[in-house]
Amino acid sequence: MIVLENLTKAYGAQRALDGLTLSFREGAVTGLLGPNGAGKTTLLSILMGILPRDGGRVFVGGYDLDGRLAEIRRISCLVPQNLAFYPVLTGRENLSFFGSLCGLSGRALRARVRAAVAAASLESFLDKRAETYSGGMKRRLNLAIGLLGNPRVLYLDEPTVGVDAQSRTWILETIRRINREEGTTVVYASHYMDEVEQAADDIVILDEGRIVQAGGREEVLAGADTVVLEVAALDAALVDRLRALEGVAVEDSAVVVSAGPGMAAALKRVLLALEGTEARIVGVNGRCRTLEEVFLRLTSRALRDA
Amino acid sequence: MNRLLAILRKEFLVLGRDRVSLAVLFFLPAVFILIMSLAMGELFTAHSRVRIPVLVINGDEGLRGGALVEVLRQAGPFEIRTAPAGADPGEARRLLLAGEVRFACVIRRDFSASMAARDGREETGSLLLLVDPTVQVQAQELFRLAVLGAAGKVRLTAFLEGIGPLLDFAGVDRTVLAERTAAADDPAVLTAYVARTEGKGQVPNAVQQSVPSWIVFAVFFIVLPVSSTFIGERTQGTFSRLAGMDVSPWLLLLGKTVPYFLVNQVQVAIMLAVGLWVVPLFGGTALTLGSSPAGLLVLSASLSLCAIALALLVAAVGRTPEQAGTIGGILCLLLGAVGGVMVPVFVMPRVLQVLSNGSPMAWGLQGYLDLFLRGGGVRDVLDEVGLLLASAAVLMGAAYAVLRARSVRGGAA
Repeated sequence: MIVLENLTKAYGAQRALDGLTLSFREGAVTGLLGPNGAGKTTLLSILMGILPRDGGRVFVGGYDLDGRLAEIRRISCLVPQNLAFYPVLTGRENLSFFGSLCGLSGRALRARVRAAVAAASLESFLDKRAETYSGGMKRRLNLAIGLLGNPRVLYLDEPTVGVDAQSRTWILETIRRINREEGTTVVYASHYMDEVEQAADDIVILDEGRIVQAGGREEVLAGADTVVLEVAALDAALVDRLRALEGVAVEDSAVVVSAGPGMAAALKRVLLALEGTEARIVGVNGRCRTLEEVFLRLTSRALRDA
Repeated sequence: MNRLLAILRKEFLVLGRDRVSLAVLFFLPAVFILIMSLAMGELFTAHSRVRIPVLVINGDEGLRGGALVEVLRQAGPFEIRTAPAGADPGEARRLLLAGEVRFACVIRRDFSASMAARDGREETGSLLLLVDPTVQVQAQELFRLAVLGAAGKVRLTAFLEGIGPLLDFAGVDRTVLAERTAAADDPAVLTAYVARTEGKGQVPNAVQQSVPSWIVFAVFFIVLPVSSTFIGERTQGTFSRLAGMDVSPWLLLLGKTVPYFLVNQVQVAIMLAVGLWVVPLFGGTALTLGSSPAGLLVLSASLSLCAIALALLVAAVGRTPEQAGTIGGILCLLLGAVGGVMVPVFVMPRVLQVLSNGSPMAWGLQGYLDLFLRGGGVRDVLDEVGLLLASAAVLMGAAYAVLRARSVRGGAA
């Protein structure tokens, strides 16, 4: 549905996207993860033609971004991270305004507004000014505006920032429902790993403008399973030697070996390293990591915007 | 067209919902024009009711001092207060420092003798003027000229009396000559005002002269609300969203222009109405609008378009509403100062007079003065209208270019 070929974008000397080659499956919900400054918002803005790219090619729904932007904008919609509507207008007025800009009018406009309102569950507050809405309602209105044009591709940039657990769950369910019922392709940029783990079919992890992991959810998470050896009497020199081994991490007294094809070889290297030392294995556990652990392992723990 | 209508409807709704700002937009210019018309309207006018207090200490031993006081009473916007006999300049200084009078005129004991001196060697300092230094220099000059004129009349009277027998001998009627000399006005001097169209000129009053300045100034203050709301929307992300919906920056600029253009026109109408009907209620002189409603409409429209285009450029350049407020406010003050809104251009130094040719406020002001005071019509303001519209086009184009460049750099996201 969406194909990126060697996509690049820089802000001055800073590379925001560094040769991305990637495709997003039609009808799938793809979670787009990455630390601050990874290039998520830049990517979504380029896909909507709001930002120009420096190089590479982009195809959305078969349309080339070069020369077919109008068609791309007709079939896709970006729900921005900001609450991009008019607080002094009511929910209905906001929806009517943005609906008109989608080319809707008369009965069709009213029908789409009704559908978006139902999808975002805003019926009771439709004639109240948006500035009086709670944080969750504002997020839902922001989302509802994005649904007005009945897009085939929906880009969501941090759609649940600053809302309570109930609203988050509701928004996630709505996104899944739209995806399921309308077949909408959804690209979902978020910092919340549990949300992506829960809602996404596919996962793409970006860091410093590059793809560090991409694939189906099960595939990404499966690669993250580990075997944990609890080891007593680890000294500093031994920890350094263990950390130098491929597929091995050390967290306090735990030696963590990644699951996957190379696990047996990695375990063997760990056992060889322990042989002849004071250290001894006091426990062995299998552990299924969360997406957050995968994310931190792939993108490192250092702050990106410090 | 459907999109433009949707944007205009939204703009009017947003504008209408912010009733406090809207009230301020209409109310403040009205109050501003009222206060400025009343505050500045009466000073230095031919039929002024303002009287500047002047203390006169007449220590003259002769009759000329009294004659001088009488001539001064008829001259200029002064309220002459005479000090009791025996007062000295120290009393005048005390009253000046206390702010009870603004000027004092001390007539020395040898004043009469000095005025009648036939050998031309008068005593220096027979008349001492004391001035409150806080008084505007124009008022000081007015006072000095009034005293000089009065002293000249006294000297002429003394001279005529001195050569009385010669006048009798020459058959000159001394009574008529004395009356002419003492009169406040000289019938030999006539004042006429020129107009673009013969017979359509206005006798100027300070309201006629000051209202155009404040209209121009108020119209340009639209820069502040336009730029701050525009930047607010940009930083809020709505413009990015609209860009993603294929809404062109031109449409956004047009969407902002139309409602604020109407706001400007209502502002002008309110200010003119205040000048016409409210200022007289407070004792000021009523404004008269000249003879060309069409000229007024065309000029106000082009002035407003220029102001809004400037506002949109400020909005495109500014990064925050606060920054736009600062840039817009300072620009308005500078353009107003250079454009002759605060000080007439003709009294400025040459370099500023040249600079004022580049101020849209100067063009607007000249246009209004042509219409209000010189009896001008549409044809007489076409130059100013052309300059304002051309500037509006250039500024709007620049705003568009900056918005586009910002979007390319990622500023809109």
